[in-house]
Amino acid sequence: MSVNHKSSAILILAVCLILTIILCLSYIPMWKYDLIVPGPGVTRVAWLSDYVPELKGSLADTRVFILEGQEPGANILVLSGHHADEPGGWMSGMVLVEKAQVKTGKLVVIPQANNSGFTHNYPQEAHAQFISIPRPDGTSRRYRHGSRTGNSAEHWPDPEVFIQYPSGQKLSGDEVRNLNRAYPGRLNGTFTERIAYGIQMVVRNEQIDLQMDMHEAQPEYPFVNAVSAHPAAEELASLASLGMQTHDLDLGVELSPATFRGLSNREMGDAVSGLMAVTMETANTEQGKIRGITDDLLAVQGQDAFYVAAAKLGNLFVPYDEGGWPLKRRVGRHLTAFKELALALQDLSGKPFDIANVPDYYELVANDVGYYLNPINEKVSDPGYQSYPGIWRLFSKTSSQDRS
Amino acid sequence: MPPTYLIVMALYTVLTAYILYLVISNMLRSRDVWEQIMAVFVIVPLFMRLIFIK
Repeated sequence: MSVNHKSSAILILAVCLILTIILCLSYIPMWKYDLIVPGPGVTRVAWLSDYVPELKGSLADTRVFILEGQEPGANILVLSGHHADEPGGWMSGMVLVEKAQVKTGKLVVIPQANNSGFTHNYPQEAHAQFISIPRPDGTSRRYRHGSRTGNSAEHWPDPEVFIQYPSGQKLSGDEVRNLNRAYPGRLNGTFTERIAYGIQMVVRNEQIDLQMDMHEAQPEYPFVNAVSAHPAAEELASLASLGMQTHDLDLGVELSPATFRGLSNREMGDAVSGLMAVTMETANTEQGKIRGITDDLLAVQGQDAFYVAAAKLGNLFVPYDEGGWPLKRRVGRHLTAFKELALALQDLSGKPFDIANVPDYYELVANDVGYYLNPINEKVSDPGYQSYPGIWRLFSKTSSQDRS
Repeated sequence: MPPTYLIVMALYTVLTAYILYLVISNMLRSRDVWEQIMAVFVIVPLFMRLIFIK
């Protein structure tokens, strides 16, 4: 081709620059923290860096909502958003923050446990960057829809093999950014281990009795619509499963395997004496590997014709029809299980825990998720951009007084 | 003393900058326009990594 090679090179460099700017502008809005409208039950909003100051100014920093009752009782921690591509998990945490009111005991909610995971998408999954939840008044609430793992702009490169601390178990390299493989964490460890360490400090400082971790999994995954319990929480999970039967909901119970390390329930249950720790899973179509069109609607509506066909062939571990597994059913399952686990905790520990305004499965199916999210009003301050990855963290807000 | 992972990340950032320098300087010398076009697929992601966007 007879072209001036210098001119073509400069032209292509200019194209590179334009493409880079366009792509950067599409990623950077995901660094902005989601707007969460705390309900009247929230008595204090803290940050993970209030427990571990070393996390300040990094994408690891995330909000910790505390709902304290008037009387002391059991202390419960709800973790969600370990995996930011599991909206049924983190939306359950959001509903608790925006609607629940604790009368006796204390509820601590970290709805976006791995904030770093919310700042980017998982490669090659074609997931939407944002999802919108419609409210009954015609408005909608918009949330980031992130990745299973933390942002590689904050922590890279991944090793060929991730060696889990402290077990020494070998896992695939990108699991080094998976918060649910990083427990119990350590302050001088990897970026993700530092987040896990921060959550461990929340558990210790808030004297948590029960830790619930809300997740989702693909419908073809054997462990779904189920709870995985640390041995110390086995009886608690069994009682909650029986309680779910009274709502005509099945909840499988499995013991967290001693040979699979780094999980929140297994490691925190081992590390913190007296803590009961469980992990819950619901069925999320958009995580499934045989799904069809992947867009923001799939995350919310959870309907996919390929999964209907797979269910007819008996290849799934959950019932699946044309209605699919919409977000309202998944959040409904998590919150009903939350209430049953809290009841079981009272029975086993003797510590009272009284909470109101937590919708159950049938209320969520009837009203949908948006009904349980607060409207955005002028009193709610937008957290905006609090922290940035890499060298950009020099521009992060460094003082907690700056935070809203 | 920053955590080890930050030191490793800084070293790889220097490596990324060096690879970018090699690719761009090679592209400016190349007389094959298709080779120059293919460089887009290296330059854009590496530049985004260099400036910690993705």
